[in-house]
Amino acid sequence: MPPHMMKLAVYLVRNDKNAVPPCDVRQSSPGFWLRLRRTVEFVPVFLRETFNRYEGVFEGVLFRLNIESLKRVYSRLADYYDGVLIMKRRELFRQTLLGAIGSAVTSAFRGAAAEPRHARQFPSDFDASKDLARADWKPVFLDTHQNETLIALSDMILPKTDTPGAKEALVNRFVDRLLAAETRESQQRFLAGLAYIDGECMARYRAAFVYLPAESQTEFLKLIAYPHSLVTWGEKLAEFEGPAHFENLKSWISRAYYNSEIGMKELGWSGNVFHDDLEGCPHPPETHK
Amino acid sequence: MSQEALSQKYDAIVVGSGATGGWAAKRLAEAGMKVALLEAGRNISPEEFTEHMPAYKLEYRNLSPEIVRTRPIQKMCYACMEYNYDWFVDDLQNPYSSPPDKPFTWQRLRIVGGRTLVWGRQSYRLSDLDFKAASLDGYGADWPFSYKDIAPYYDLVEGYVGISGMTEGNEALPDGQFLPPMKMTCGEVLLRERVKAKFGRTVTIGRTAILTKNHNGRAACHYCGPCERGCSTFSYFSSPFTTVADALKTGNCTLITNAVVSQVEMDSKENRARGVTYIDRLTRKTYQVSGRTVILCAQALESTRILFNSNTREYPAGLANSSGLLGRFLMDHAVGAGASAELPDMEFKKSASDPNRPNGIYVIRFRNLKAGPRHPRFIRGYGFQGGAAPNYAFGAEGFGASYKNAVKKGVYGIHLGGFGESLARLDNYCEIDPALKDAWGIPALRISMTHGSNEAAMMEDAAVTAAEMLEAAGARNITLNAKLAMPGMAIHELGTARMGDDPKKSVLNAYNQAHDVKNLFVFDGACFVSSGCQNPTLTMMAITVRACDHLVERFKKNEV
Repeated sequence: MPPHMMKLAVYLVRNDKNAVPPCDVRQSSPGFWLRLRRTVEFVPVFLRETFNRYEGVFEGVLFRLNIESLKRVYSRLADYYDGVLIMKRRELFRQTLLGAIGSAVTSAFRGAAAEPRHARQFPSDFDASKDLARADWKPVFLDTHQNETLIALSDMILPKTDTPGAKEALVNRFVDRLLAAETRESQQRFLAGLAYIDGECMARYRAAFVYLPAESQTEFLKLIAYPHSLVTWGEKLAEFEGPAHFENLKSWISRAYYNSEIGMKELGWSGNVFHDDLEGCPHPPETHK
Repeated sequence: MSQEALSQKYDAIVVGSGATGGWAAKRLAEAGMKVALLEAGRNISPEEFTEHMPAYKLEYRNLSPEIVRTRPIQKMCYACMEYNYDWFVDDLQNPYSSPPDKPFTWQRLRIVGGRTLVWGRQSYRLSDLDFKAASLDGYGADWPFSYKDIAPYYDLVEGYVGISGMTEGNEALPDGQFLPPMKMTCGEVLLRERVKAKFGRTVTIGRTAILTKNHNGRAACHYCGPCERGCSTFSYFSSPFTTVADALKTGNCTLITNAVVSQVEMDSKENRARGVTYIDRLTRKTYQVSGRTVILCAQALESTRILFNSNTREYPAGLANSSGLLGRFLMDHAVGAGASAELPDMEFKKSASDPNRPNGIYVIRFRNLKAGPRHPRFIRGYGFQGGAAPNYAFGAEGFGASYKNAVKKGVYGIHLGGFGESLARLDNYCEIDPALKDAWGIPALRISMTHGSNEAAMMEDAAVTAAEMLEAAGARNITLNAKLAMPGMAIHELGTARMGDDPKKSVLNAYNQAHDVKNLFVFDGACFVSSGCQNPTLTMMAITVRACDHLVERFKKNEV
């Protein structure tokens, strides 16, 4: 095996970017099917790397390869995978396609000047939500009481049902992170909402929101969750700001929740991004008239 | 950039690597000309694509406030987001001005591919209703060619790019060379049937530059949704991986990135362009590239800006501006008006793992057609883009389990947003702001544009007809909006160096050649004489190919 392919084989089997070609490549001794899968996954990478080396010769061959036939080849091999790898099969096809097209495309930029990679490229294991899940997390913007209040609020607005709620989705942690980067106006409006809730609760129940029993919390939220009409016979009432504050906080919590992994799964997200086709309207032609 | 590349005298210098620049480089290089393709921005690589990355992995889950600092104007574009804002220009480094009573929003990218990386992909042909609109209603000027001149070029561009759509046989929106259309939803089928029955108007599927079948070595779309974050299967058309790649493959094209062109250099004695001067985006060093022809494809406002900044003693008001009309007749479609509603009787089940169609529906223009009544309050017309689909009800009332369930249950929404023609007016224009320079020391633009009474009346009508059509489909809770968005929001800047047969009334001739300077060309949206109501990119690509054919022919006869 040529040295560059040996390095690649080692990298794939051991999944270790810094792997130095040692004498024993089979140290980790994965099972047969895993090794087969990795060998097969290696093929498009091999193709791409080799093409990059021998571009001129292979480019012509590459574009004559029918994309459909590549798809057929790999989907047949995919029958040997275990059932969980349906997603992986599509990944493989995509990689093959990328290999097929990518090598021809990367050659297009041969003529361009070398550029420092300051572009916002995300490595494949990038996941900014991991930091939020750390056990030693501390708020960077809210104080402890505000954070606790936010947890309680988010738990009431989006509770656990048959699916996890906002508390489990660590909505308070994400909101804290986002708030820290927001404009002053946005920050002030958010804090004013929390302050309003605490102030009104102290006036009505003599305790801040987070110390109230659940029934009182629900009762108070019901008061501010819906718009009020402000005028009665002959009187113009003072503006009731509760609903505006509630809507603002609810919108923060809702956006944070439905953009979290838990929230996306609650809406049915499965992680699959490859669809063969759109379903469109499935009804017979005369149905919608 | 290598000395060798710079010392060469190219047959053509193409400024800009976007929709038109990519085609210019491809056609000219394939015809055997030596092309220097200059791009102000850096390279793009497929590794930057993030279309499959879920939002929760981002630091701010795509709710990012940080882009406000460096991209307060770019973030007004729906396509500028936490995933990809790096592609958009840094507003602090690329300023422009506008009068305080005439706000204008200008969204652009400076990167190989330009706005084709993030564009809406909607691709519609103009017809003689647009090219000869002035003859029909007496306003403005006709284009110096007609539909039959450009039709073969529409065919060629569509055949290469791959446009999916439905044929409708409608004169106002000529059919093209289509790949199979994307499927409509139940609500859209309902809208199409009812609108046809009640009003005789046509609701068709969007004609989009996204493949529904494998085509020219690119794979069909797999409906993940967010094209503007990139596409690892190259299913939507963007120039770096298609036209620019083709140009480079010929071996006749040299791509020079980070080349911020400041001006065209003239040989005053011969009255010919000699080449261009550019400033390296990173080092600020200046370089000269010489060429036998100079072709500006930097986008309408940028190309015109270069011409203004290339003024000489012979052309004090801007290069090739003896007509005085450079910068004039700036247009951008009137958008913001329309209607949205709910279809309460639809049965549906929505899941976040459903395919996401990166396309909508289109309502073909029905106002002020060739035959038929003239509308009493406005000339020209508008089309609609929109859709009908289940949406999650994030705005549902209340809190707790009932809110959570209401969000998930969702609401079947339907909406139509109008795109109205923008009339060409002398008092909509751009000029150089003498007090403002960008980070490369290049004088910046002052853009002065408003939508007028025709646009206001037209889009008021659009809001009403949209609501009527939604009502006909059985929609409830219809909300109308007749208020126009700020000029620039359609991101379809057109005009400022318009084409025409008369050198006193236009800057370019019918083949995009400057009347004043025979070897100077402008292929992008600056050449448009009127805006029509259709998305312009397909048309400017067809115009480019036609202009290239003409240029190559003259070049081979030594006539440019």
